[in-house]
Amino acid sequence: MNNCQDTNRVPYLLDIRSLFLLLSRARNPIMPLIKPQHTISTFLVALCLALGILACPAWGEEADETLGLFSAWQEEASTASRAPKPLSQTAENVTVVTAPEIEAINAHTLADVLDTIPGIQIQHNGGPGITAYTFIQSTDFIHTQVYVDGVSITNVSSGFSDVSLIPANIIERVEIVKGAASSAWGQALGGVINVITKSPERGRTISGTATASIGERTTTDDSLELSGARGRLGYYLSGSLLDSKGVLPNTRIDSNRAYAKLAYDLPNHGQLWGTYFYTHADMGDLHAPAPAYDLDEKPDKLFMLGSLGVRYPLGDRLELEVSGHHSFNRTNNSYFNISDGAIWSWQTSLPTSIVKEQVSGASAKLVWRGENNLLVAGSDYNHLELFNNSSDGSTVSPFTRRVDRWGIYLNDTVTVGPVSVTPGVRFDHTQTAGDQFSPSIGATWQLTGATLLRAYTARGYGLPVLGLTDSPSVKIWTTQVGAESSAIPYIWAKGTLFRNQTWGNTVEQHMALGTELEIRTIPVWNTSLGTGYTFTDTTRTSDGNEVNNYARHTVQVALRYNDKTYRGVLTGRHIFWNSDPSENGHYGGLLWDLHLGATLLKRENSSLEVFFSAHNLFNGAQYYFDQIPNPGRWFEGGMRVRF
Amino acid sequence: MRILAAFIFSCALLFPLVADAYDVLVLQSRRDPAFDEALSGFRTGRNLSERLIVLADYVDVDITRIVREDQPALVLALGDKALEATRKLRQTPVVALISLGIHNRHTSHSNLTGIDMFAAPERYLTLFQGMRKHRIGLIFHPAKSGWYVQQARQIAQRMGIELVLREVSVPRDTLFHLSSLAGKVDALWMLPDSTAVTRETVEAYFRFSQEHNVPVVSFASAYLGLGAAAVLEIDRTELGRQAGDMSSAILKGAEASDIPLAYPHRVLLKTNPSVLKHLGITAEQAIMNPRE
Repeated sequence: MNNCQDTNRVPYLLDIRSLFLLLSRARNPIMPLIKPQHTISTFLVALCLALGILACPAWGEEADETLGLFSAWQEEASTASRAPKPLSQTAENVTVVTAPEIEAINAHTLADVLDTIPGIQIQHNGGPGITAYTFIQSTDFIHTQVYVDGVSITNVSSGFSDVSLIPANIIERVEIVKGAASSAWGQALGGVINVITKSPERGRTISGTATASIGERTTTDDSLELSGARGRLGYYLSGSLLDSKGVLPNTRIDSNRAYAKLAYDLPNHGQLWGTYFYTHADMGDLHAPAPAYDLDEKPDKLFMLGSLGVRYPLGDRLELEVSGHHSFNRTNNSYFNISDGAIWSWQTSLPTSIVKEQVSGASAKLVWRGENNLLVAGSDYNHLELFNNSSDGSTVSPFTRRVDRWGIYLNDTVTVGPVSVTPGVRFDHTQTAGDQFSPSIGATWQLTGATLLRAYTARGYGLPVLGLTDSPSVKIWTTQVGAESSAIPYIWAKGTLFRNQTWGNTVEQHMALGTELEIRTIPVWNTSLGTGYTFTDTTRTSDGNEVNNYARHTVQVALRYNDKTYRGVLTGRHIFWNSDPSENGHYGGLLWDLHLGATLLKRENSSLEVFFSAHNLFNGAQYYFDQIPNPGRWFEGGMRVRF
Repeated sequence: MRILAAFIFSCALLFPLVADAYDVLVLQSRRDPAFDEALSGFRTGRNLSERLIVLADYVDVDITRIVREDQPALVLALGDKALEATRKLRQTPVVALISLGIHNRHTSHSNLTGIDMFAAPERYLTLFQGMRKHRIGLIFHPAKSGWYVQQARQIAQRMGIELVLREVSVPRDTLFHLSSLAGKVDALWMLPDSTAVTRETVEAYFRFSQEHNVPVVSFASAYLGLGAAAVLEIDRTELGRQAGDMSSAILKGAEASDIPLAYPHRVLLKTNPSVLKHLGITAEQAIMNPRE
């Protein structure tokens, strides 16, 4: 990973949290493999998995309304559960989250959603909307690529993708690829989070949702969504405000977000679309008192993204998709001493670090659907412009960089009977970190109707942050094998073993061996249980010693109830961060959140819903670094009107 | 590296082009004999390749993604959940069966067609005519069955039958409206309306029938045992066959938007002799319609 990056250059390029992370990684302590905390976490893992496995067998299921009506509710016989087949034939380790699941947890931003996904670790700097860091299978957060409708929102100057900037209400689904996905996406060493936004509601000229919530410390999240279509033209509009005095001291936020999508249906199943995404957040992000840091950090983030695309079939089997995008990303970080309000010592003469980024790009993709294979050939081009008012942490020397990057790729999915093979290659010209060749190959095998096997191996890369000087890329070779099965009645289980070998000219070679396990039950009396566990053992290849600061155990558990009128979700999560002992991290037990909702009025096209959330029910402490504790117990509630 | 690259290209380009695609993606809400009957009818006499997905078998299933990747020529949706799962599909034709939501959704989804779960209104009205019933009570939810009631009213006028209509917006209103029909109707027409007829209110229809000596004509044989005098029941196998004809037309190039929603072709009249006898209606009157 980037343990040996030049930390003297880093401060102005990354926000301060990134700085802390990089500093702690640079220390590279050698830790014994056995720690007392492991016993606790192992117990928790065993308990959660046991809960999942011991779920009561189901003997009923929700009936179809029509079928019930025609049978006079006399034929609701129980049926045996079968194993879910994979959601797709993809060989990669993919997780999909949909809008109903997001609403069930009263999520404010994408960060809240990702908290519940096995294999992902999120570090929050505060409450909703405050900076959050995403780690996939314990790879570094700068290697997680986040896309909104296929366009990257990742900061080119820091490699950071702030998932707290994306409001949850605009999300239709999130597709997460865990593990290197460079053969399709280019720079994607850790994985890809692709946010697919809501589409226009067809069949109604106007429909919408108004949501308002309020919680402790005047934490409010209000949004209005409008959607509809007239003829071939459809629209989806969303505006929202997220404000808080800070559920943690000094982490206030004042943010507003807007999203618009227009879609026009062309003849012959083609489509023309345009999107615009705007998000602005003024917040307090970090408050690290003296004597350790005496630091107050206040970022002001602005991100805008516009895209235009067209998809059109060129024949029965061939489809062309072309799109263009432009994004503007500005981050102003102000650093002051808490004690006297003076400029923080690292920020000599600079009250505010300013980073402005503009990315203009285009993508083209040809999709050929053969009788037994799906061939995708495409290219991406991006022109990056970066302005930074300082090149390092001690001198003031504003600089501008302009970089052109392009890549071409070819991916195929060949299906022969129950077996699908997915080879892929991509070539990228990065200009700043050499040329990159990223191959991959994977396969799925539908072993039985209840069991699917999956294997995937790929080489990927991650780019260093774009600064005044260039650094070589970081490489990874990932191999993942796994299975999905519901051979056990009423239970769906997915297990994955992964091996990630990471290296680079400025990075010590690491080997991360791990496993991921997910278990979910089908609903029993409208209630289901889900658990997830991820274990990663990261060692230095040279001496075999464990490397700190990569999460070792991650546990997620969720108990869900939904009878269409009342719903409730109880979630628990535990991340054994395995941070350097000097960080004084604290991560015992699980953090529990309870989300409740009730639909009070329900009509054909309208409804009124109230919801309530209790965060960190038992006031648990779970943080990587004692300067950034997690919020304690806090409550919020609200209502949602659909029309 | 070169060996791997060569292997990947070989896989991509040289794999045998064995046909493994399919024509129809069958989405079934859950496992149920009613769906099996419809599906067997759909398959009769046709050799369409298909992939069957039973939604209840899955914790989660992503239909949009499956359709995007598998590219079936059409989707056959059996049941409400299956129809709901196709909501996001806008390009792929969808033929829907055994769902009461087809009609309302059809107006907004040009790629959707299918067969309603209502027998044609004239079939019921002919039956009432045969029973010599001329004031028919009918409780319905305007948003769910309004379109059907409107058609029924026009046909009833031509046939000299008066429909005494009561609109409900929530199930509990049904009890009130039933009591308001006392003395004003000589038969009750029970529609497949999930607001007007619920598990909680269904008995009230038959209580009304007994108390006021009027027959209830319903839509499924399951209600005969509860006290319905007669039902017009949809033949599910024929329903599937009818859907198969629609699908064949689509596979031959017709647009789903050009194929209108249809009433079920084959509807069977079934009666409860003891109820009819109690009400003084002869079986001959009930089955006078020669088309049954």
